[in-house]
Amino acid sequence: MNQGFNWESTNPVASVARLIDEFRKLPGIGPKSAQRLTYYLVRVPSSEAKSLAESILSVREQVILCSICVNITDKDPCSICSSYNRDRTLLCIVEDPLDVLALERTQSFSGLYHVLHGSISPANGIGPQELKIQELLNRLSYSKNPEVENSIKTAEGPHETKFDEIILATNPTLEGEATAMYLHRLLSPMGIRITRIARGLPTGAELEYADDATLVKAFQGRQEL
Amino acid sequence: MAKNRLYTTDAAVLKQIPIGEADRVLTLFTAAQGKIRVVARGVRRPKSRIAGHLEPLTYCRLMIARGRTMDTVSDADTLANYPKLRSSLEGIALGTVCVELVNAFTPDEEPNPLLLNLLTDCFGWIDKGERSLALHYFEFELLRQVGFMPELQNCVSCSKAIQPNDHGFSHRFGGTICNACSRPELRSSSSAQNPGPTFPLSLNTLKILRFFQSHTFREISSLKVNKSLSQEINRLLQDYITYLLERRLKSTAFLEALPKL
Repeated sequence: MNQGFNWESTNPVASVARLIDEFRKLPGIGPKSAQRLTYYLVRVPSSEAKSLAESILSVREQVILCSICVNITDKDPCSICSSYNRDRTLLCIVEDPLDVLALERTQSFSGLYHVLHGSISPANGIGPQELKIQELLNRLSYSKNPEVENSIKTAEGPHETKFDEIILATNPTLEGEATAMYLHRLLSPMGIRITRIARGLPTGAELEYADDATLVKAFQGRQEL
Repeated sequence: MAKNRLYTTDAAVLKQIPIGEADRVLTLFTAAQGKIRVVARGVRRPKSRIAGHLEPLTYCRLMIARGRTMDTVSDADTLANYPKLRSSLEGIALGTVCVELVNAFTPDEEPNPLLLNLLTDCFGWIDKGERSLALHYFEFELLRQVGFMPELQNCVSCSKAIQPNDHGFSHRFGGTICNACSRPELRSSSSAQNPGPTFPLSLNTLKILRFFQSHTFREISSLKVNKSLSQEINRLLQDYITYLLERRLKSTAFLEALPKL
């Protein structure tokens, strides 16, 4: 595959060539897909193309990071952090904003979140300082300090309370486990109960295909019926 | 004769990169073909049958289908997954340094079964709790197997036997150098005899490294190495590896940051 290919040199319509090149920068989009998407947009009604362009612009202009949980939001604090209906003694730590969406879809967790925006990956040079761990530490030190708590009370929305439990919901991959272990070591001295989401067999899986580590975890986490 | 569409190989998983909707590109160090890259489809989905067998720092048996641009994993089974290595931060950090070293020092598709054995042995040693010595021995043996084992008996410049406390280490020449050959006036000359900067090397470190040269890990693991000596061995090997690769390993920063927690 020719990575350095420039469509502008072969395509007589400069704006088409430019859009192909822009699409190619997106993750998972190769040269053929970029061409297909571009020629699709050339054919659709201009209102549809305008709507897409406006959506892209508004995402960039309106989406910000919540100053409390660091999740993506269009208002600060985000709807979860400013809700009065959440259990403010539970904090769930996840890797990505998409993980919050997945957990919210289950409607089984009513606590608060903290988004790390990645996981520790020494092989790729991603260490703890590249993640939103300092923001987490600031948040936890606020919730432990009654003087700061009073100052947060006066701010808009409900205030942070002292967390009774921190749930480490990073992915059960090597990087996710390393992140969970790192956070456990870092947060243990704070005296807050720290738990890890369970690991085991997913619904619809078959035992014979499961790897040893998953089977061991499934047996360790067995529950009485 | 046409090649079979499917082939089976034992491999250590060095690295994985997410691509597409739910796939990963894996860098494998295989017994038969050396370092290869393959696609594992659907392994980011929870119901994937092979995802658990393909995590980094796992030794597994794979069935792979040949593809036009890239081969694809069709089946996988764990041969060893080193549970204690994976359940400690230090274990993961050490294992990651090992796989990054193999990845950095090996060219694609050049079989080196001895190095694969060394890598899986090292995972096993770390799994059993043999931590820093295992990494030092692994680094030393890896350098031997890829052709960069340091010379430790004679001066790399004048070839005379090294005398106690009359030595340094030259990265450029790849070994011990006597004090006479590492004189600053010789260093400043531009000839091929210029050994470059010389780094300090204590007698105890030299003795340990010579011990590495001639003994198995089982014999070495009984050695009592204090912290300062271990740090000196680590610094010497890391600096030499950095010189050879012309870059620092990414994973060592995390390993070095761990004790500060």
